Amino acid sequence: MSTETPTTTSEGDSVGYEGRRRRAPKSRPEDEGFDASAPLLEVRDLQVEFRTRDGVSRAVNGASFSVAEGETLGILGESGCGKSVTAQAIMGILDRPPAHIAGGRVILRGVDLLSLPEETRRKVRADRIAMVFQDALSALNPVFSVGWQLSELHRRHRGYGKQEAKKESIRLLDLVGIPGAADRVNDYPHQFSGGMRQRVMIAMSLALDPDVLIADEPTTALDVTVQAQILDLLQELQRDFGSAIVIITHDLGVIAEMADEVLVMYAGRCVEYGATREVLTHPEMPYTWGLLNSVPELTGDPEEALLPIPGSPPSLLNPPNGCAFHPRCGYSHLVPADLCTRELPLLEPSPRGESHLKRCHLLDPENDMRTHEPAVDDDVLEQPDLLVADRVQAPDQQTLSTAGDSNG
Amino acid sequence: MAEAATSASRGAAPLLEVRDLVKHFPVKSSGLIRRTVGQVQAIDGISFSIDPGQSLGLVGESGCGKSTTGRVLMKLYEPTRGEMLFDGVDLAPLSQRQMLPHRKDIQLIFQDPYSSLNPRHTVGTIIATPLQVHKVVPEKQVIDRVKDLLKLVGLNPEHYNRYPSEFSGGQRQRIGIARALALTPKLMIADEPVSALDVSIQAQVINLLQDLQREFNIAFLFIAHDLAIVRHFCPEIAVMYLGKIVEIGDRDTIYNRPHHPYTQALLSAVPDVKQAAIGGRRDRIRLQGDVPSPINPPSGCRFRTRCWKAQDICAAQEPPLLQIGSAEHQVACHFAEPNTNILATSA
Repeated sequence: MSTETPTTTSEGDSVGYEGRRRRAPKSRPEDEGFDASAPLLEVRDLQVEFRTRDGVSRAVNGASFSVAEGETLGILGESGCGKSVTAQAIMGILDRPPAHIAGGRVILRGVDLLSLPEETRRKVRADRIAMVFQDALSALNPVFSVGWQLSELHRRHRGYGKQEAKKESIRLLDLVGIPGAADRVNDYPHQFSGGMRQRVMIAMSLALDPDVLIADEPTTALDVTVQAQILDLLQELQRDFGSAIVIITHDLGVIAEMADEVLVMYAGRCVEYGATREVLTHPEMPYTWGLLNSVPELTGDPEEALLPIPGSPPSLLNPPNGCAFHPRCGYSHLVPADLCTRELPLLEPSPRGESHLKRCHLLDPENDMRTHEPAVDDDVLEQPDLLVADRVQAPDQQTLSTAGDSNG
Repeated sequence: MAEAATSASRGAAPLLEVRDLVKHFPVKSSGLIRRTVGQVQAIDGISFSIDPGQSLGLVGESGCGKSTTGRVLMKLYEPTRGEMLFDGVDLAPLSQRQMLPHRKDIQLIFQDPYSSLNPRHTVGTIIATPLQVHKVVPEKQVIDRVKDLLKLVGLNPEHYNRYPSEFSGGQRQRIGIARALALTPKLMIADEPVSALDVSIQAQVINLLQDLQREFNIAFLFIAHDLAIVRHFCPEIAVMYLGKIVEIGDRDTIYNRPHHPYTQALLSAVPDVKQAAIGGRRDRIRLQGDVPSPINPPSGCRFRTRCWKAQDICAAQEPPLLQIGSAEHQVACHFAEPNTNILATSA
């Protein structure tokens, strides 16, 4: 093990602010194959199915996106839209079965992760891609101190000794703003508050200086003031380390503050993709438009009625024909010949430009949505539905945390 | 319904008046003799009132006592001290039996539409139970009433024989609302009624609650942490911190001219979609640390440990909730001053 001691060892000594500077490129034992000049992360046509008793549920149905160094991609969607499953597929921590990767590629620095043997993937996790979960309390192991869990990463992946690894853990806790890190390194997860636990998890994800950080609803369980602290911290660390962040959330506010680019998902498919500012100010898909209209604002007329999207997200076991959003869409009557109910629209450039993609049959959706009143069949509200999202849950956080890297 | 609405005009006697309400939970030592070793001061002397048909929003971070307030009002917890005048009757000293006739006037809407409905009961049974317990309609008409209620909340009346698991989250929340509505309460306590729902569903439920409020002249105590939703729903808002109300006032004052540092910090932390989308950046007040433990709250002003304005007086003396400007606006801070720039953004 000691023969592979990385070049960063000397930096383990520098505790505190100095430890913040970007570290020198590492030589890693599993470097073969990874090409530093290749694009950082590219997901191409990813397809994930859940094979259940009731049938096959296509949780992710052809997701494609890419993210570069120092960039933040936001994946926006509601429960059951496939955003978390996408993240778990990239990390390689899906529960299989019931999940099954039916197709697509996840290319990290020129290497297709889906083709790697499990042993190699385990090394890639934490080292090159790390994940921050929503619920830190269940993602951390309750019976080991946070210091032990942090140093395990260095012991296993870097071959550090006990003392060295502990020193590194303290440096990391300090980096993420835990006061008195040296005293708290031996505390257990339950001894930290919610916000501090989330910091511990961020420290753990950054431990091996990954190239990509996937944050799955990192602030959903937190209060707004703590959420603001955590988002600030993520942005600060991104500036210092230059890693790419994929942030997964249902919160438009978090997307607006964090993401450079946004991918909107609905019923397992990408329905809109573009620069955040562009998508949020000129949405080109009725679903995104509906989301923006259904959240109240802090400024403007408080009495103004909200315009909700009628109905609920569809069952993935039996999704609607054509465009999955058509039963809830207020603008499908503008499309001739019932095209929305018959044919799945392509993800194609919108009138706003080549880089703003939309999945909608309307030729100029933004203009149509601004000039027409939405019209929806009232029956939509009354349909009781067997929501797949309710029953075929993605593997829960508890199983994920152990599937992560801490148990190697 | 028109008569009801006019009698609810401001100036009439409040429907609910809470005075100096206190709820402490004892902390017991471990071991055989479980002595009381401390008190969790969940609510520590709060006062507010709600007029018939009006809404009061209760906001604050987790652990500030806002949910406890709702539960004490329902008498799910016995208040430690204080008065809760509902329609002129003090509910605080009443026994559970004496409380029964008042229960139908106060109903609760829960946060989690999954755990708040019994999975083994049909929707019909769930909604019919309050009708049967309080015998408000003859047994033969119960089914019809249930169907009416389902229709009222936007569900298909013919689905009364189905189980909660057959409905989506938003639809289950509608079932919970129908159950609360069954007894036509005067006051509804909505404890985070939409925070467990998807974004596209939240607006549906908010609109439904507003329609029902208008139609049946129901007063709301609306407990939530989402400041934008509270602003939309409630003309009056109380901000709580660690068991105390630190600022209470009308919507315009709280959001556009907040006086208490905590209110200012809370507002500045909320991401603003439309502003951020066009590159606008709000100056964020960064609060240090976390909310202190309610078992051993800081002396004097409870917010002083995280406050940038704190001076010696804040530790020595607890600031009283004092009226500032209009009669409706009260602030508990030694250094209260309006900040009109909290929601302003710079490009």
